[in-house]
Amino acid sequence: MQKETDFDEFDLLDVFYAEMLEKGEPHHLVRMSVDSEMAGRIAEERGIWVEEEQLQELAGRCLANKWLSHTTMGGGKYSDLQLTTQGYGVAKSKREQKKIAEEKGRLKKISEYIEEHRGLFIFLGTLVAIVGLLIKIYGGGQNG
Amino acid sequence: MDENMHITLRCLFCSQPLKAEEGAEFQSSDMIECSECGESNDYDSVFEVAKESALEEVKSQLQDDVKKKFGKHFKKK
Repeated sequence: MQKETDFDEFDLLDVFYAEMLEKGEPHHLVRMSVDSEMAGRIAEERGIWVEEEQLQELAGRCLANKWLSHTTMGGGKYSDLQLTTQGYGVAKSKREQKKIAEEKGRLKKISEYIEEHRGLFIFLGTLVAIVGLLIKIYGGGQNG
Repeated sequence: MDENMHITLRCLFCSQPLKAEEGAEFQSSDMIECSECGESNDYDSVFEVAKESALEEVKSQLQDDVKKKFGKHFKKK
């Protein structure tokens, strides 16, 4: 299992975002409490163990940035929270950033492979050109 | 109430105004990079937050206008 330091406030927002997608409901209709139950769920679904206190600290940051808000009055500080429109935007942006980074990673790997084996590709290209030229010369000679 | 309203598009991460080159056009699904914090923002979400902000501003101005216009009628004599 990964260390808790691999989990930040953006990952917490992603938990809400994922719940939203799973339930098929808009962000303002999805509410979750940041408690030991959430910690257990994160451990099960993402393979990361985060202490409840750490989760609540991250939730505090999200509340301060207005990425999360309370849906009920009088409940606990970390109970019945929902993504704000801004928080939803942050979570969605982070997912897009990750997707772009993964795609770039793949293209970069292909580019690096070609760069590393540049000599081989030049040799193969030259070989193909020579074979093509020979076919043209001798193939044209045989036909004529 | 002001008929013209100017709403600034802000970075979702640091709330600083988003800047772009003059004439730059954005459309749905574009990512806009914040020059302050370097984070990329989903354009649709930035727009939604700005829309929400604008609605709140309009609501607030309308409430002020109503209070000004009708407040005198309900003053205690």
